Amino acid sequence: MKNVNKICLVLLFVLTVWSIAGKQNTSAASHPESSIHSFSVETDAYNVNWESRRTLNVYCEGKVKGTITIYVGVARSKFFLSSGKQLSTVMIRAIITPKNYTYTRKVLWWTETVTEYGIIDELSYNMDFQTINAELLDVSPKNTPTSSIYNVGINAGVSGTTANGGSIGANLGISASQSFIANALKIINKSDTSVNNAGTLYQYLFSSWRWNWERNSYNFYESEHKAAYSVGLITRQYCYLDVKAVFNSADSEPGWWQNYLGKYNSSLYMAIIYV
Amino acid sequence: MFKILKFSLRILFFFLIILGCAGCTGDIEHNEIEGLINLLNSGTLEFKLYYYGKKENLLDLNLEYINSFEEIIFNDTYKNTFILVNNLDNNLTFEINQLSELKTRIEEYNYSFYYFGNTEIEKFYASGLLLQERLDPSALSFGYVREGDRYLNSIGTWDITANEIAKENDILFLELVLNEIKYQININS
Repeated sequence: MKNVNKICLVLLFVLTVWSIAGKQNTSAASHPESSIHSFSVETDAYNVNWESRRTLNVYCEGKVKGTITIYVGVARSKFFLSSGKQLSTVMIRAIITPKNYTYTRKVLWWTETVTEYGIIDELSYNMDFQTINAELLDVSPKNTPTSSIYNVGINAGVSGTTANGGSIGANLGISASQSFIANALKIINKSDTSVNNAGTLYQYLFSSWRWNWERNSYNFYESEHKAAYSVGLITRQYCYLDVKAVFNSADSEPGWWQNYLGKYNSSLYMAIIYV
Repeated sequence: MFKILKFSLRILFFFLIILGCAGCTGDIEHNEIEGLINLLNSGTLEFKLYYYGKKENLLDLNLEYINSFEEIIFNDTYKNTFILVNNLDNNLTFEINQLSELKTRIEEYNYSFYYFGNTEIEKFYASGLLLQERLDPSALSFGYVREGDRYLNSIGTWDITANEIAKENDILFLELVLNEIKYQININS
């Protein structure tokens, strides 16, 4: 009988350790829906949705000069803030694809075909949360980092692990990282929490030196950006996300002979997001 | 006399240079659309395209025109199968049951579905092919496509295509369709 008790005790101990270890692993792991677009959202999220892909095309001479493929996800916190608001975080991933395009033009008595190359100049997001009575709580990224990688990081959780009524800044870590050419990009945080307006501007900087290949090539090839915005709101609502892209043109692929043509074309896309 | 000859030679030389430059520029011609069509028609990407509704200029893209969803064959023959429904002239109407059944078959066989038009939207929402209750104001089309292990809506900017740019460039519709198909094939390859 004593042996049975000992075995039971050992089993209980093993089960307890296993249970605690299991819980620790769960809290450190990502929500299964989050990693689809290289964001990491801890399993403390009530739900994570990546339900649509939007396409923004920029045109020149009636041809597609550049495409922005935009994925928008929303992660919601399990618990409520002390103000009674729930926490939602909008995650944006944009893939920028400049394209070359051809058009014909008359030169004296003959028609020639011209090929030009789209290059990205600016990408920006804007979300006016004031219109839906939502409170802007955090934004990431906030500025241009000095290294060649920037991180998106928001603690979009509510303090207090078991009950509603905490404050933002605990649990539900939302993170992502993105590499880029450090001296060719400027990130400007245009957000203003006093009016609950969120915005980020990615500016591709041209080099004044033709032989700065790395910098001159960055706006020519495919690149990617990520951002996240956390808001507190009473009920889930539809909100506009404005995505604006500006493309310039070059007369050839990157090289010492490449000339920027100063042909700026822009396009605005108004996506409706269920925050 | 010698001066006139020299001047004439200069003029001739100048024109030859201009003609040479123009010729070179013309040789640069690179038609991405034709390249995409050749790529898709070559058979290397294993794709099948069903097209239903308003006809557009699709050049010689290899596709099969259908007059109803019943004509779609569901099987695993092709790695990528696309169903394009063009209702930009508002001539097509649908039943919710018909769309729900279509959705089930699409998911079962991993097909991709695209709808162009701004009518019948509420039926697509009721059937589950449109996941968002509210479409973006600039969107006149949506896709129901598999990405990774789930289906999502792809939403484009087709209103510009149909109503404005198409007047100047009637193959822009095709260009956007081809880019979407290429993107979809790439991310699922």
